[in-house]
Amino acid sequence: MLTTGFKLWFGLCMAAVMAAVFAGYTSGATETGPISVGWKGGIGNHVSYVIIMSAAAGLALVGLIAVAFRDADAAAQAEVLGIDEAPEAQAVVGNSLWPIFGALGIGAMAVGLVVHPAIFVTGLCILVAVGVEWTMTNWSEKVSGDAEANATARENLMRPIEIPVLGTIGIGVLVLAVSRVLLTSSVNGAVVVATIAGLVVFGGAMAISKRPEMPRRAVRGILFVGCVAVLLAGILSAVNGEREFHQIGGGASDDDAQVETDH
Amino acid sequence: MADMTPTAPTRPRSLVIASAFGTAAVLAYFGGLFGIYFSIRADAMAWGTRWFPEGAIELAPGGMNMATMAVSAVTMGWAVHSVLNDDRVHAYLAIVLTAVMGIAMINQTAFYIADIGLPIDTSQATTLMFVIVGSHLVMVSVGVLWLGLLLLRALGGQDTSRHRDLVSAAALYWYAVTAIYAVIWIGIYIAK
Amino acid sequence: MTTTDSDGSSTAVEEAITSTDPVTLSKVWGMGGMTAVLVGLVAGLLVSLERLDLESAGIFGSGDELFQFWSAHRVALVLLGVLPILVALGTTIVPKQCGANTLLFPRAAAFACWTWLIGAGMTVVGFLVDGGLGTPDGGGQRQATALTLMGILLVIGGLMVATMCILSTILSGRAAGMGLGDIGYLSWTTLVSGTIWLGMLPVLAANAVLAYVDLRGRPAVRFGAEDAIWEQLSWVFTHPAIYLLALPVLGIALDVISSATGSEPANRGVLLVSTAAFGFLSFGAYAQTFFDTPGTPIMEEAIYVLAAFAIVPVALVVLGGVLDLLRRGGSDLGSSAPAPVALSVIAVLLTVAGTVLGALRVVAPWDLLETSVTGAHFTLVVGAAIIGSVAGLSHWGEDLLGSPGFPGLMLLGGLAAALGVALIGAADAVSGFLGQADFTGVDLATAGYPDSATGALNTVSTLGAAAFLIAGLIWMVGGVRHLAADSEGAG
Repeated sequence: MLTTGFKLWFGLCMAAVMAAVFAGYTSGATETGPISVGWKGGIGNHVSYVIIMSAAAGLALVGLIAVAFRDADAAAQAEVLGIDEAPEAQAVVGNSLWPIFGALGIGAMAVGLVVHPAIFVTGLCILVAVGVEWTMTNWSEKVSGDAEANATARENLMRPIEIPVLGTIGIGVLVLAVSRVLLTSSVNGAVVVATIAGLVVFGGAMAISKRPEMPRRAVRGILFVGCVAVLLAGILSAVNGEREFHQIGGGASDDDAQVETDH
Repeated sequence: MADMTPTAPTRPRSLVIASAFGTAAVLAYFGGLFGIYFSIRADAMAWGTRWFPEGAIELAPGGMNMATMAVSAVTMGWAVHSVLNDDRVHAYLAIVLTAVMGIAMINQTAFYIADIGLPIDTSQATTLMFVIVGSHLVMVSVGVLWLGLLLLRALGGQDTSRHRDLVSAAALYWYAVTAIYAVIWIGIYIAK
Repeated sequence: MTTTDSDGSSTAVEEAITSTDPVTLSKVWGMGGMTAVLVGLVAGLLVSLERLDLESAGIFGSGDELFQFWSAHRVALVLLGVLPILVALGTTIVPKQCGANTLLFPRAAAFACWTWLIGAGMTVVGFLVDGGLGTPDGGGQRQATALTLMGILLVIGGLMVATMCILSTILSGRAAGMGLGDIGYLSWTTLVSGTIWLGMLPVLAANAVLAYVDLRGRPAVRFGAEDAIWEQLSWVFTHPAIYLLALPVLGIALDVISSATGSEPANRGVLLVSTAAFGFLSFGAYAQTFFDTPGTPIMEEAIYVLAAFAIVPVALVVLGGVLDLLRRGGSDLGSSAPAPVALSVIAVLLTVAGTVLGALRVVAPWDLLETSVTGAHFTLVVGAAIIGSVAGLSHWGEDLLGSPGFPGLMLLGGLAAALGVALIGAADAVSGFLGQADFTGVDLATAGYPDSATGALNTVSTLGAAAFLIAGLIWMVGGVRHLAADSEGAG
């Protein structure tokens, strides 16, 4: 018996094929072009013919899937699993970071295509990383029926990868950002900036360590604001450019001695 | 893990159905590009204008790519068959081989595009060719990434007949990748 | 790094951005869509005001600027406004109608939602920084135009992934014993329209990719030329593609009235087939005027004209189903119909009016294709879609936000919108018959027939645009108050 889904999609497919043939013959097609997909004769307006035919192909695919799976009725799916009653349509998943990070990654790729390739590559890396994390989250949810055990299994597998990788990236980005700030500052300014930054980090760490009762949310907030501030300073400094460096003596030399000037 | 609570079953058709909708959308995307390509090409031919510069498009690279994709469709089918039969070793092998074929296809196309040295803005023909071939490369890359993620789950023991939808969904997409390349091969590389 | 924050210390913002709950996602889709509708209506009013006095060009400095707002009006209403609102309903209501415990692929649905939101932001920014979808005189910023195209690609991507989740839920998530033909009308029309969206939006993406690639970094060959981009994408904002926005609204109307009257349509099978036919006739990706070759202008070809006429009786069949429901169960409505019922009926009537005007538009001897009849047709169909969507949001407000909301405000806004849409539709249609161009430009030379009597009609149209904007503001107030009430309830 043909299922409702098959009737819908295959019916739409047949209608699309007829529409394409009609469009072809009424727009200058020749011989049997429209009914032989252009094999013998012209198909008339190529844009309309090809687009409608492609839509028909997609509709045929979905129609065939529908009839092969018996419209994916609950009873048919239960039969595939060999059980009496089909399971819930979807296991409820908790909150997840991967969708928003994935969207940010793809957004960065789009912006990068317009602004700068480095942003595109960053977005691509985020997207690939999210793909791996998302997959492993899905994997862990199928390890057992115990959510806690699944979470443990995931952490056991991914933490040894995540922590070194994220740590390395984080340190690298911070070092790069701070180096941009120091290279943009004047010779003496760089010393002042480094001293003040060191004191702020040291003082902040001391203050936090003196108050172990401080909520985790506050610590997270301080760290987040600090990282964003360093990143912004690094980006602004990179845009501003480094101070001037002059080679001593000029000309070709393997002596890398140099003097620095403020600008 | 032996005494863990067994996983609740999930509906086995959902992922394949989503993949079918996604694949149909991909077909529509390329349908749009092919429609434009063939329309402008037919117009140029009708006016007696040369479509691609003489000798720019060669048959051999396109043919090699088509052969690569055809073989990859077979290895993809092998992967599906292995998963259905809970043959993990062959499943790993088939998934890796399919991904390698995809990477080889990307490599061949990238080399060929660099080799012909045809700027993208030479004409409407080259712009359209680069967009179509480039879009297909993106499609293959997505497929390779998908296969890589599938392999991760396979290594985690989840590409089994119980979770056959994972590999079936990827296979459906991969067959569409191959089918679309067949149109590119005939429409661009052979018909020129 | 667990993905489920179980220590209870996450903030409300963290909860919101990491949520995969369909109701939360619906709020983002719905509020985002309504905001975009409001933005679109503001742009529409400004363009309408400019059209009143083409000699002084008081609001916009150039034709290019006017064009950017004119095109932003259509993009905001269709891609950033109506479609997301329909996705909001599909995300929450469709699973309930199908008996699914929740939406399938909730993480993918969240990914789609955020991708759309980021894309919508990029699109709006692109328009604001002198980009948009090209300009007739090539006066826009290329970088900003590229940004707009990228934003639109993300918007399309987000809408497509969300549609896939919804369609998969309808097909694979139904409760035991519920056949595909037994689902609610909203679900059925979403199934049909979602299928057609998945056939059309990728073609729009193909157009955008082609334009983007040709635009970047070198003189454009053809597709990326500033004055060519809009025409390549314009097919999605006109007949027949825009009918697809009205299709789920027909489903909403049938569900809403059926629920209010407590009766089922007598001819369910006919309604299912006619809504499927409506969807098929809405497939508009083939109607790409930019690629017309000599001798085959698509808008004058038989398939285009036939589709325009064929959809009228199909729409009338659905209207017949709605009227039949009202006739058989009207007595149960009491003296005053509930707000969603009134709004649904208005939406269906406007849809039918839109199809009739669409048929008149393609009559060759009248030569109306490039006139403001096209704008009137757009307003009628998109206006119907907006009013119908609000009817759905109002009807299922309790499912979406836990309380029925403010039906009085929704009705008031709906009546203002109906007045606005009718005024714009009627005035622009008559102006079109008098020869006024769809995009008038900022001078009389490009406006069509400056000596004709379109001045008064343009004033009427502007009043309509103002009424429509007021409706949008009323709905926004209603929506925000509803959300606030929901938050207080949750607190």
